[in-house]
Amino acid sequence: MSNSQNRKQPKKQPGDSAKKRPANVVSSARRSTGGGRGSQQMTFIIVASLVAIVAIVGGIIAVKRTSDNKASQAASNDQKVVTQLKKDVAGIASAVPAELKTSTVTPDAIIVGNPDAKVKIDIWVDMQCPACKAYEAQNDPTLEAAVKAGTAVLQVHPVAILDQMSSGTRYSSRAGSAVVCAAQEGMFWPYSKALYKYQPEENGNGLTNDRLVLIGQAVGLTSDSFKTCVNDEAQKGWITQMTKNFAASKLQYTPTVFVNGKQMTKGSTDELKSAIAAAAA
Amino acid sequence: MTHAREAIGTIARLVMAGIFLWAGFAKVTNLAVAELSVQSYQLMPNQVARIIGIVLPMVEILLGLLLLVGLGTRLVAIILSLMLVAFIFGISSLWVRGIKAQCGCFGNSLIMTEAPSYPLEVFRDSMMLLATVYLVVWPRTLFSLDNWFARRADANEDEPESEILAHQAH
Repeated sequence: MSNSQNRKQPKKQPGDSAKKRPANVVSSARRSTGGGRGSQQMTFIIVASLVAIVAIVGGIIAVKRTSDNKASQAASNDQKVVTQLKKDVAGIASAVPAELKTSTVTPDAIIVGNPDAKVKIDIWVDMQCPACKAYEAQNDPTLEAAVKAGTAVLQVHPVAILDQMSSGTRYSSRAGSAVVCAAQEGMFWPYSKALYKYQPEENGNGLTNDRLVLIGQAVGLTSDSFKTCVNDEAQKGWITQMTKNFAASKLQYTPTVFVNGKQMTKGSTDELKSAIAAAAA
Repeated sequence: MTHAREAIGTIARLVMAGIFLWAGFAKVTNLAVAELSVQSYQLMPNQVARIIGIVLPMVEILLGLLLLVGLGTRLVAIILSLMLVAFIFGISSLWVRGIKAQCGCFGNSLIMTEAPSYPLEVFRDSMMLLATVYLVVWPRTLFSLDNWFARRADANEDEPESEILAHQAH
């Protein structure tokens, strides 16, 4: 160590300070652009490949997730796909606890569960709204457990605020009317669950009435009255009224969820669970 | 002068690292929401929007980490600046078209309860853009890997020189 310093010493003698400064300036200038040319290039390559790798991994995850999207399956006329659709819908329905396979329709809401339950959960939805689909997918287990235990009753308010999002086919209104038809026959929850699963893309054509009937039949709504109700959009007026109530309550967005009048804001399962627990206490 | 510039750059780098890590993690922990976020801007086909919704937070986390350690600061800052320009464009487009959608920048709530404040969001992103552009212009900061590599590169270049000196001395 001291040896090498000794070796350097002699060379430094002529104009020491003057010689040292330029060297420093050069190296600091080089550093200011992120290192020597070699290391700069290396850094560039490292950063660029890291970004590329992450983008590819993310892309693969994304594509995998979107291939789970059932929207196109629900609209398909391929006989094989339709058979599979019926089977899958039947599966969704059979997984629903019996306590949620009853429902009644009042002018104010579709009621699922014991109307005298201590916790009243109001859910405003639009069948075309992707966030409603996501909210229910995330929180269904919590909602179902609360209804099953008799702690909570669901008061669902389907509205049609996204009719302009289905290329003129008014999917929100038609699907809304259809879930009221299903609710009259006690099968609101399994049916709306199935419709969410096969929710059409926004700005698409929505599902036809025939397909709404077919999904209902797979859920177990095999009566002629259901079929007629859906095809005639018999409950359109109910949905229109509910949409007016929605606006009159100064609500703007779906989903909107209240637990005993307290509005949920985070949308998380934790929030819903603790709100239910607090309301039940 | 250089010291002040480096100090400001260091603060900008670390603050932006924090913001992007936060933004990325907030989204990546709820992919269902992340997918919807980009879709709600209605700027591209849903399929594409869903993919971007998932890729974006992952890239944000990576870039946040790179900023944190100070690796490739200039390049990272260039990418972030371009992203921020896109974000500002996206939010402004919601504003102009009168679409009420959540920014989704720091993860969303599935439940939207109040109207978004577009001017505020554009302002926030513009401030962030200012910081990233600063780092593009002056990427040299303290406590960064870039610095460390540069110093090592300098040391490597110095070495042969001292060997020559050694020969001369003998």
